[in-house]
Amino acid sequence: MISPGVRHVRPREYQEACALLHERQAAPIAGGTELYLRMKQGVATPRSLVDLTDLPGMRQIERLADGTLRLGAAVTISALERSPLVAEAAPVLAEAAQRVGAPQIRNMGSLGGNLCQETMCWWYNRTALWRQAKEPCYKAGGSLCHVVDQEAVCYAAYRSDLAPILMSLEAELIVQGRQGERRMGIDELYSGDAAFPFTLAAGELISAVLVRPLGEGDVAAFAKHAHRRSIDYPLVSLAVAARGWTNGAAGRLRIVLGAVSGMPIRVPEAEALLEAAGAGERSVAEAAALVAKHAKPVRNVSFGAPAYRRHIAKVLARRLLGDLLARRRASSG
Amino acid sequence: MRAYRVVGQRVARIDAREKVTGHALYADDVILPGMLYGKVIRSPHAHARIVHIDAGAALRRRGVKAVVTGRDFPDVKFGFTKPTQDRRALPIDKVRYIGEGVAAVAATDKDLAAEAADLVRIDYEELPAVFDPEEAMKPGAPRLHEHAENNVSAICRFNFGDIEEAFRVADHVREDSFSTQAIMHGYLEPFAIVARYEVVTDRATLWAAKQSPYIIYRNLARGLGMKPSQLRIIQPHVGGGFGGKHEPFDLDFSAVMLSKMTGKPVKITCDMEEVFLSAYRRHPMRIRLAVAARRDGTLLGYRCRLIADGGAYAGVGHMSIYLAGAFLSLPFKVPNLRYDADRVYTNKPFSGALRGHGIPQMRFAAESQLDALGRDLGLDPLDIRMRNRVRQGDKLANGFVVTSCGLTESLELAAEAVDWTHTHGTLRRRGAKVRGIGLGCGSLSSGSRMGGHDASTAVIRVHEDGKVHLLHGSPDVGQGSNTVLAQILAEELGLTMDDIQTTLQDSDFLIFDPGTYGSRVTFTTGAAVRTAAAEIRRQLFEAVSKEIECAPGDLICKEGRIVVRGNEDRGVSFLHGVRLCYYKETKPLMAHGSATPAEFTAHFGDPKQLTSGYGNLSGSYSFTTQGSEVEVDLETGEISVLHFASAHDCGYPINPTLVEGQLDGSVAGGLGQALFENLETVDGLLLTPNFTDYGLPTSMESPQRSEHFHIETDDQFGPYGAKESGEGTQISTLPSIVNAIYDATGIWFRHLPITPDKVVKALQETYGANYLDHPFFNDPAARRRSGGADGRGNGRSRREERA
Amino acid sequence: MTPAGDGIERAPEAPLTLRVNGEEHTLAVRGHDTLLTVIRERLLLTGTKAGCTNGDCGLCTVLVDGEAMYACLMFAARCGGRDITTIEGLARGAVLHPLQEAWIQAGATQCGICTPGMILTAKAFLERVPRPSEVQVREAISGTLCRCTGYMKIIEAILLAANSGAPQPAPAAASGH
Repeated sequence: MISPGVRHVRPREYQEACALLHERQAAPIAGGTELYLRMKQGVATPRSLVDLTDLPGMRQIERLADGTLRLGAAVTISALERSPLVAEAAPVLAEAAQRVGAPQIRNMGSLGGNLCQETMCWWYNRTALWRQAKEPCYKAGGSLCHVVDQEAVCYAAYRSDLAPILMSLEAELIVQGRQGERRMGIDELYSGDAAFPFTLAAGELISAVLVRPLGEGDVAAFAKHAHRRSIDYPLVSLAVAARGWTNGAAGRLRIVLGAVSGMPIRVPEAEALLEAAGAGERSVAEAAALVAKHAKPVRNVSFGAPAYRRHIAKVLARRLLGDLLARRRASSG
Repeated sequence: MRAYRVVGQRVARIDAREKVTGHALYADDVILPGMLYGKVIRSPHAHARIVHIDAGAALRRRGVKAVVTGRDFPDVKFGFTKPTQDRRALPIDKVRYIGEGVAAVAATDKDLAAEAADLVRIDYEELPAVFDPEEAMKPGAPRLHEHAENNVSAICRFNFGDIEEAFRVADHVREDSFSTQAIMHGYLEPFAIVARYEVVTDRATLWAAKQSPYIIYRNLARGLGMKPSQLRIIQPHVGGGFGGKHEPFDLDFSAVMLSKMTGKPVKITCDMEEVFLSAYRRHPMRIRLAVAARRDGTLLGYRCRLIADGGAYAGVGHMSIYLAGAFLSLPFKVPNLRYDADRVYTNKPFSGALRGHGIPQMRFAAESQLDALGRDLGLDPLDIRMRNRVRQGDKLANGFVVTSCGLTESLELAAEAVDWTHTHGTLRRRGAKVRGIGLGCGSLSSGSRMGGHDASTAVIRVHEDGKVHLLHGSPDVGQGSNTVLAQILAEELGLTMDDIQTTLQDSDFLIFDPGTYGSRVTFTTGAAVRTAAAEIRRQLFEAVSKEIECAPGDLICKEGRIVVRGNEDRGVSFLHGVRLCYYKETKPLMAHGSATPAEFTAHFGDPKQLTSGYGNLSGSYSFTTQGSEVEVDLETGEISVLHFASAHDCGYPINPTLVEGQLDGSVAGGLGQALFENLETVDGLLLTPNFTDYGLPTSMESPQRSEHFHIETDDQFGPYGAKESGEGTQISTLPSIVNAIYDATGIWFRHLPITPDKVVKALQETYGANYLDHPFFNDPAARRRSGGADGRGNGRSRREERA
Repeated sequence: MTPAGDGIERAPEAPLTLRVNGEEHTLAVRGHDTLLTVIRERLLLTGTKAGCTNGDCGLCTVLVDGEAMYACLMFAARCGGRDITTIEGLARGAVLHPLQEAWIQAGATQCGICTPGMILTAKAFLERVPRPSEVQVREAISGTLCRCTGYMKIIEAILLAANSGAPQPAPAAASGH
């Protein structure tokens, strides 16, 4: 249950929004689908909700002068799915958007919210009644982990569907703060600590995501594996993007694993292996094995046995990377 | 071909317009002036003594009107049968599972009620708990109930024929172990009740999401220390039941008591998480099953040991384990049966009835074992089924009598639908995906004699304007029984659906009816409607015969008229006939009719009968064969159901569209249990307390193609020849899918659910790490030879460890 | 509560104007009230059903500016000025919407609890994709659960509505024998 007295504010300017967010117990809201649930579960207890949707450019999808795709952070997931600009610049992003949650969730949820969703664990994202039955874990402010209690570390999983593909596309974020605007790589968003997964400071918010369009010779793909084909969060997801891949150049590859850790995981060893000229079937298998090695899932979600999720990481890698390599060969042959 | 005008037609549901416009009223939609909102406070402990409850702080909050605890109720326990009376309105001594209701508050709004619930202080003294049924049976295990030694809440001990002899003379014997998981019913409407107690009349009126109000309220009255006649039950629409809305729960007792304490109506609606934590679920069962067979596939006997995880209370669990054993044989004829079952208390929410009630678990085991038997003996699974199938007139070892049977035809139709002869056992692989087909059969009783009052009653009143009003006591929980009963009534009186009205149940206007369970409504209540309609006809014919000067026996109802048989120009309109009754005879035109389970059925409300198991359960049995085709992604382990063909003998489909709805729904439930759903519990704590973590299938998981075949066997006891159609097909779904996966992969899964992680693990263990290259998935001949990895070289006796 | 900025500020009982089924309602909502709570308990439009109230089942689906959304996850205070359609807004008196007719003809409603949300989802979907494939229909309704029907007759109903414009008799032959 959500305690009464939550207030809603809807700033029109970034400075004002950041000031509001800097106050204690303030939380940003756009779609609210994920935040609402955390509030209902009692794991988030903001007193004021700062609505970001009226801020300038927040709901816009546009191509900047240099061709960069600029996605306002409050753009809904279904807008990404249906946008002709996205379809033109990075169709893989539309595909990934289509695999987010359920249709209704996509109509409500925002890009920024998807990126800033909290890490999840089946011992944590539960109502107060349920949590009374167990000692609080690290993420709930306690001093133990119900999954792996060997190190003082939280093992909750970051399960954004959009983060891996955006990371593989080397997207950048525009972050607004009280001191003004800054720009950072999406990989800099994550702290690596599942208990406090994001690096944004109090009073900061993401206003836009910038994506360099996929050009000629660029290839990208995304795969999501979940228990059901709709509604579910991923058990494992994998995104790959290769720039300058099929136009004869050396090519640059980004491989990013999702949902198996407190943040999306890049697999540089596998990238290097396949970037090398002459990489063949054997290297795909090796790269897939490296991807699986980087996946360190724990038993923290339904139907997500760790060995199985590692196996799936390997299968998805084999499929996506095999296809990628085939395309490079086809273009050079 | 029978010439019915309304019966047998695809008429629209009688409540369809209400439902598609949002006008249908469900329990949570009931709003009364001055109504308070209640909230149940639930136990965070799996097993604990309730030391003290302090409601002071909660009661001091403005707007909080009352707090109720177990001590506010009379000191009585209730239950299905005498030996299983183990529940109280709210517990007074201890809690037995996480989520058990302990107290409840009522306040002027929902938020206040929730806040107040947090302020009620309950001191517990934790007790050792036990979660595994086999652990619970061991000496020294924590005891849940004083009366139950070794925590056994109910047993069955069946012994029919000569089991020792059957196993001695058998050419082939195999023994396998199976387990099934706990699943939810999957109704999407959470528990809800509105109760209004009136002090001046000392009665309470209830609107609640229940599927068998009278059975429930008998227990409800007992727990409240009231007489059933002090409760008035007004039935709202119900958002799904599937066997899950039978028992009275903490919220029901609390709402009435809180209303009594405050003098105001009280509504309690559970959060779905509360439903997950506290509602009863399907019994998880561990089954060890030994089969004795002849070389030609003739089944000689079954020896079965079953342990059912009953959870914290008995509920109707004795019936559940009885049914699992009762359908050890049917739909096949097996002369020798030995069945030993124990239902065991554990510190979890209790187990109870769910579509198919105990039978799907057993038939999953027995029917998938038939396919393994086929591989052992080199026989086609279809042939084994054909060889052992029951036929009309058969009497089974446990006393079941088969009065009509379309099993043969259903086997033929389902097999043909999946192209069995050409497809089964062949290698069909594309890339990482491999396909397989499977068959499963099932049978279910059409209502039974459960103890207490078993009759259904229909009351028909004909308005002056010729509209006919039907009242009866078996709620329609979505299956469409009100439509079917209205069709029967329209047919009987020669009218159309537009002439019939029904009102949902109200206990002040009706005679006791056991309600909606065990696929009894069309069969039993349908018969009651026919009887009542015959009485209406008699009264009409008497009045009309005087008017047109003929014998009453010569009259018939036809197309809105009452006419002389063979001379149909002679007669009057139905409306004219009605007016003759009212105005000339000056008699109200109304009638009632009752129907009871067939005389030749045994009394299964008796615990002794449930334990020993002999007797005919029902007036007739439905039969089904389902053929399914699955596609397994060998790399990811994902299983898609491509095609489902249900060939179903429901005697006669009074409304084919509604019957198909039942078939599709049963398949959906079975598919969920086979592949997707699981209530995963660790130390009594449910880790999957919502539909997403639990995995209820979405439209993306339902079969890509669903096909229905209606087989008409015209049962002599069912109305218009109709039999059961609400649950039986969920029985065959599990084995059909399991057998299709067996065909596709050569792996026989004996532990549900068959989730992708288990599939991948089994593939690796069976065929090695490079299983995609294994001959089984590459060489059609190898497949024929091996008959599947799991079926290979089965010894005379084979035991397996539980996974 | 005092405003912290010059943006729109709503104190816990601030009045709000909601446009539901074309009708404007001005009412005080509390900051934590969901759209579902307001629709059901304040406007007494109980056709919108409360299922899991957790974003898992889709029963509470309503149309907000023409798009299907879970009313259980939306703060009512944020819905001011938006166009909301509930199931009560579909029929014109006794004249049903073609989707409602199709639902009846196909036998797509059983217990009926998912029906309002499903029909609204289908309405928004068909307005965007008037001639969908079966797979598209499945995807479109995949955010609402149904246990009764296994979705089969719901899919049939939506295709029926899409293919007929005005509903035709149900294609019973597909499955009858």
